[in-house]
Amino acid sequence: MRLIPALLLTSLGALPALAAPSRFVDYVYVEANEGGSSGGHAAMRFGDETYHFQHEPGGLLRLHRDDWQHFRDTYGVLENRTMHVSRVAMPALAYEELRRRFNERFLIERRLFEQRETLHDDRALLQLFLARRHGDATVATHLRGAGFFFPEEPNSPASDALVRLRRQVQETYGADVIPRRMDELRHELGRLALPAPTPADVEIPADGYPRFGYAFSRRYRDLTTALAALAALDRALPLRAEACWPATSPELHLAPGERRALAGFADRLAGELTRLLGSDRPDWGFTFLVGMARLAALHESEQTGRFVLLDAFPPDPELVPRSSVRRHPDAMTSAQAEAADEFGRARARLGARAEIDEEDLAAVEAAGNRLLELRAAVAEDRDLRVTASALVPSRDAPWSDLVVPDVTEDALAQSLTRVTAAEQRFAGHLDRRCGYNLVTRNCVSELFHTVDAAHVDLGGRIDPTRSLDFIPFVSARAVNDTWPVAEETTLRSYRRTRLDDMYQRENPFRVWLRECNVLTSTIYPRNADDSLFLFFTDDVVVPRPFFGMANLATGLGAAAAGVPLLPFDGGRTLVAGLRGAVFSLPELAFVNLRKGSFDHVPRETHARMAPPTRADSDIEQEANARP
Amino acid sequence: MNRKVPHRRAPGLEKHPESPFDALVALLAVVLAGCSISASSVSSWSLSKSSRSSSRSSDSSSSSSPGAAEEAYREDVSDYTRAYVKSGGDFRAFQSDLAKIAQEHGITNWEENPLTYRPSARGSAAPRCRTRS
Repeated sequence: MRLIPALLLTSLGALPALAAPSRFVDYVYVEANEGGSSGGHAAMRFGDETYHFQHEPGGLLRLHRDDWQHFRDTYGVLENRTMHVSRVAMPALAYEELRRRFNERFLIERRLFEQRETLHDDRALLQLFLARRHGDATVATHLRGAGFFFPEEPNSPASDALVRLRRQVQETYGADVIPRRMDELRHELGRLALPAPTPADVEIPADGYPRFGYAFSRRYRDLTTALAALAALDRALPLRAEACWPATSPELHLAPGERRALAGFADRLAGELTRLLGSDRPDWGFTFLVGMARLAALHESEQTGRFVLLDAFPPDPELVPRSSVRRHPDAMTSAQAEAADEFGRARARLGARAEIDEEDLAAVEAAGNRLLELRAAVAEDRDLRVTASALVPSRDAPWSDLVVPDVTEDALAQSLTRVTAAEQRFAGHLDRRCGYNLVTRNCVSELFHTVDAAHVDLGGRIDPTRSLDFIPFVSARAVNDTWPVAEETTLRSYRRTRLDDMYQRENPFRVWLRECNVLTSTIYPRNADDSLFLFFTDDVVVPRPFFGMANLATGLGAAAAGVPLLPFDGGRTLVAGLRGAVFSLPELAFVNLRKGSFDHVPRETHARMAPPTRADSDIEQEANARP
Repeated sequence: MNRKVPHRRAPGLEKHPESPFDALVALLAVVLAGCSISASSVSSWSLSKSSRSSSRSSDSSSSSSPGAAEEAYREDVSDYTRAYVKSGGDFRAFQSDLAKIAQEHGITNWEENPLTYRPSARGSAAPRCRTRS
């Protein structure tokens, strides 16, 4: 419990940083495009962080937090949408209050969505116990982190690194510590109280962080993972062969400085793991498993003089289909070059510091994984694993050595009934709390509601329920009219930025003729995600209806051609044609929605899209100079 | 008190569409398709994900400013601790949530990580009067 005062103290520090006179928060309106974004989008940006609400499957609206560069790459480059940024000035205290309000809401919503998963896990675990009681010995759960050592590979020699760690642990806590701790864990698992959800586990408070308890499934999984970690340590299990990347590539050769840095970190890691065994934190098993896997990989790196990297991709990554990997050789080459740069930068940190820490190793691990995955997908002609989350080694394994709590079958069945009911009630509460509504609860209205809840004075209140301010572009105008906007800026879409560049360097008329259509454009390659169309209409006004007519004809023609193609392409041409026709209709009335989008844009190309926003200090200085 | 900063348009600024007709069409578009569907579902595949992460975690070295990943972690720990203290609850649930936050930043051993206990550079979490007058 001493932890909380210590953490609170950290949040009370650094008050001088608030002495700055004012800060700027950006209201970002993202123009529409076809697909799921034809109404436009909006976000609030605080420095490097961007908060925005997205419509999730199941009709829920959820607050997301993205790095600004990622947000810009996704919406401005890949989705090719122009952004309008209104830079709002406010006192540093108000800025911090607002930022914290958004972050708190983000953390709260994340916990709510986790609770939905937790109740589901409780139910699944109880069903598993009942199946075991009915004699089904094949049922198993999955343990994160256990996949580095389990299932145990027969006849493989013990890991030297784990033998040393085991000795260190026994010297610290006693020779019988491992079997003793394993017995304690099994005993605790056997006596674990079955879940009996209370209103506090199901109801969602109107405001503030929810007071959900330490759920049964979390506790059970934490204890079982700890048991698996001790079993691996007890037998000093070696890493499973497929848990690491092959270290055959010449660029994985370690420089002497890197070798020293990794050896030093391995020594410190062994000490940390030994102390971890004495910790009272409930989740220590997973950290111990990952730590042991890293220790073994570091030991092998030291022995071979080459980077031995754990496979850090999550058990359920997104997959880019093999067919797409094959279809985009240039994109794969460019992505590999970017990943190699990233890997080089991460490795440079190893040589630059006297003592590296977990973040340094994690950065090398993550960058190396992304690079090796890209190469392997091309070389092995397989699906490509991708993830936008931080890469933490978490390879899982099925675990059937389950300790069923020492209760009757009736008690298990009753608990299952209660948990099932609680899961349904919670789903209803979540739907009421986070349900999407086109007008009253969308990506714009929730930004303004969150601002309201922060109780900061922005010079005026924007109420999206009493006007059309819930529409993204109308909301941008409301912000400019109501809040103290110091600067308005437009960040052009990727295609329009490239066009501007071409207009400056080439004959403008020739550029326009070449780039106005999808057939001869050198900027836009056909993207299968887009509808079928012929002319771009986002950068023209007068010819827009004429281009719209041509696009309408193209869409209808493609749809007609798609009918006989139905048995061969599963209706793709038909749907793309119909969508093309629908999104051409606004163009007949001078309105553009569709802009085309991109599968991939090399980073070096869009890195030239310099943000036109000026530094906060420049705007502040200019404002101060005015009478 | 907020100090009003004079409005200023940056050079080359484009005006947003703002006629009633535009508003009507946009409203129609919103009604037809809604807004802000999860970006990941819009694009069937995005290679940008293969070379970097979307959050300021330790493996997004490409992102923004130096030290941004560490600062983001410290802010999350600080904001989460304050939120937890305000509402109260099970201490083990607090530790479990903290572990999840740390993992999202690429940190597994949060207990031994000095960043967990270091103040955020922005400060921020100090109690203060609300700024609405």
